[in-house]
Amino acid sequence: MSLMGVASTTRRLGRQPRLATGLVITLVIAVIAIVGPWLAPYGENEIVGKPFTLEGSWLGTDYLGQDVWSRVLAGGGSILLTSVSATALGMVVGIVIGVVAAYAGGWLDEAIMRLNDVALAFPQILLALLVLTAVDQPAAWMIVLLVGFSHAPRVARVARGVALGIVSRDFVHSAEALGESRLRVVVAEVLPNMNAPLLAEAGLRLTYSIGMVAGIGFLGFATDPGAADWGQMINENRLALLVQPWGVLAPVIVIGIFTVGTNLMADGIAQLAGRGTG
Amino acid sequence: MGSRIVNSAVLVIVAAIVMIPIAFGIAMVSANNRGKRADGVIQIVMLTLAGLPEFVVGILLVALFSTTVLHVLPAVTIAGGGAPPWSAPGSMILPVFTLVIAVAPYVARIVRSSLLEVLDSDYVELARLKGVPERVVMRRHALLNAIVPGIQVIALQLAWLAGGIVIVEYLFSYPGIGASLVDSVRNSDFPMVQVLAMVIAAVYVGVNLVADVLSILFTPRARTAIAS
Repeated sequence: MSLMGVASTTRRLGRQPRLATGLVITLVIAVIAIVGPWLAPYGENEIVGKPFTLEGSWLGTDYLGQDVWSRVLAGGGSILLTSVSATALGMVVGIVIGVVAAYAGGWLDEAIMRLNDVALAFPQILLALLVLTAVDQPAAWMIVLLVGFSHAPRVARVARGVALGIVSRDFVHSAEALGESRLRVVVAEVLPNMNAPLLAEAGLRLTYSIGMVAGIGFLGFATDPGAADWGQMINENRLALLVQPWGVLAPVIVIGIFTVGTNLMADGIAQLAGRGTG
Repeated sequence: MGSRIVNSAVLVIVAAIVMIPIAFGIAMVSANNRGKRADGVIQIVMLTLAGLPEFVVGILLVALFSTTVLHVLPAVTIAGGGAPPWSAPGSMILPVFTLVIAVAPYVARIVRSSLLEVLDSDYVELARLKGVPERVVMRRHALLNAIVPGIQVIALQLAWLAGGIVIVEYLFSYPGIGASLVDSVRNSDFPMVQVLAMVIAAVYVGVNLVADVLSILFTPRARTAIAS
């Protein structure tokens, strides 16, 4: 992006305080999660004192005597990676389902959306827990798949709604009349016009992904026991909330700030999108 | 198992009863002050609360009221010997408010925007021109018309609560089906997980059905269309 581009983007963001605030918060937490491991004063599994005391750096120690602050710095990467991948997966699958249904129309549309409604009857966390019953030790990719696929029916409904408004427009008909293949019509004509509402949906889905991924860790379904992870840290240190609250509060607060940031961002994009079309 | 379903139902229903007036109240204050500072502040607060996962809200409430700052409410449900949790009403306050805070922002937001839409309509303008006091306009003309979208979003949120109780019950050791579900998942107890998942999905479908019927009953146009 050129310097002019940066300047004009900054100016436009300034007029969208919610989007700007959300973006800044999200980026700050994401940067902490990415570079945190290098800033940590102690190793994530280094014992620095007795459990649940204020030894170590400023936030004290956790249930094994590991340094809470170091583990907060080290434990964001896994959540960030898992929830971003899950969001991307859910968006892609959901968009494919929704756009195919909208573009196909007729009985195929009906069939796809009714099946979709069945999937919607299960709360997201429930779908994830159903599969976790079958495994002792979930791998990170499993969490990505579970969270991602639990988003898909919800994204599909939104994507179909947006696509329905586009597939009947003149430029789609003229592309069809020109003999473009169905795939090309979808990719080159329909999808580019869905950017803004889908971006807002992605922001919302990211918020829920973070909540779900951290929630699964909080419920104690750890992908890697011992490793630092914000959701898991809450579960590990919950017993000692009374004596050493920071072991729990520190990860809770970071997760809270992160989701508030992504939610503000999603809302800002939705506002922009609403203004753009209406 | 049966008593656990009842316990969870009580939790969700109490949360709904507390949440609905709060959400409508917030929406009315917000719509009354459209574009003013109060509206802006309410919207930002609601947006912030809507972003927080339920366990974050729950743990912050526990830290605030039970363990770290104040020590006024119990942090876990203590109802010994199979007594129902509402025999110790104090211990239900935090779980209920966690659910309320998780859900109210969405409801308040939808009700606010439908209130604004109604307040801009011609018949509200006519009522004002007739000299109907603004308070009555809000209550009789605007609020009644904003109820239908309200019902839809409340149903959606109640259905969401069916999943949300999993984490909240686990957090507060509340003896309901959500906490059983977490235990059963951990013990790989397939039949139990299947039963609980079906119960929760049935609740979801049931709530949506009731909401659709209520929406029709509250919309005179749809009501007469069905009757004729």
